[in-house]
Amino acid sequence: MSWAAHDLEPYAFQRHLGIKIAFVPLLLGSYAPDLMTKWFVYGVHLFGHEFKASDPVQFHRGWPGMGLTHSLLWGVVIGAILWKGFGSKLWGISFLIGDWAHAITDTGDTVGTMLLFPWTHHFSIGAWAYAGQAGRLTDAAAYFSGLGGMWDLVWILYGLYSWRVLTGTYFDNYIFAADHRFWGWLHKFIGRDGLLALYRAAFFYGSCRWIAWTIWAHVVHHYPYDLTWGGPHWVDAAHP
Amino acid sequence: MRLRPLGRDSGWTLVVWGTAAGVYIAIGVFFVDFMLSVFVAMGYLLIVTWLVPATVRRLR
Repeated sequence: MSWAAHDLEPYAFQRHLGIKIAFVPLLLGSYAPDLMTKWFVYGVHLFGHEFKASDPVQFHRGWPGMGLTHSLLWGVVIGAILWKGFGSKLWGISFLIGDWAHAITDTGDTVGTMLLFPWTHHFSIGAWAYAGQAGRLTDAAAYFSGLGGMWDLVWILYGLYSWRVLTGTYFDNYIFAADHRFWGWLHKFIGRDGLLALYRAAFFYGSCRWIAWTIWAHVVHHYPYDLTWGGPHWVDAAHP
Repeated sequence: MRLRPLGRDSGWTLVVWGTAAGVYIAIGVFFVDFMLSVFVAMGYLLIVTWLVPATVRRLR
């Protein structure tokens, strides 16, 4: 479980790959593994009913479950559909890079991911506690008290170090140029300032969310930091 | 290396985005549901950094 890394990693890849990738599918790939599952892990209330997985960890990362979305194969399948089905090699490869980054990053927690699915072995470094089963707020408090939050901070700092990828000039020369069909179509509706807002949105979201959740966890609620391996140990970490 | 002073446009952009970030963080700390979705952040940014400045420019 990572909170901001999936928002921020695409900008780091962008810095190194420039015009060779398209940003939108890269970001979509980075979000894809959790896109349809996260809400069911935490649960939602609709019309007086709670919809939540009976075993959130198994549903999110396991098999049987949706754990296959965190595998390398998932990225290959969706990337191939974008490439062969929709005729865009650029979108297919960009999606694949973003998706693999997500699956590999999530091996950092105590549950890990089935990277080589259909082999159902969970690859896990176990650096920070997976606490999705405890609900969104407890998960946030735990994540931003352990090494997971610090890992996100690395990406924020790397993004700030790579600040040029966020400039309008970079957007014109690389982002727009690499995928002019998509951005050109959108330009008709929201102009260049609107395009820039959308391009920067994930970095803005990841960075601001990191700061806000950190303040919420440690200033408003005083959850203790525990930067030891596999922590924080005040929460019941899930394992596969 | 010497840093060049920011141009007027760059300075204004920083002010707009810095204010947008400060307000987003302040809302997020007290209403955490506001930070649930990147799509909400996109909508917020479109309004604050594009729609509002464009409207102000048009009204001048």
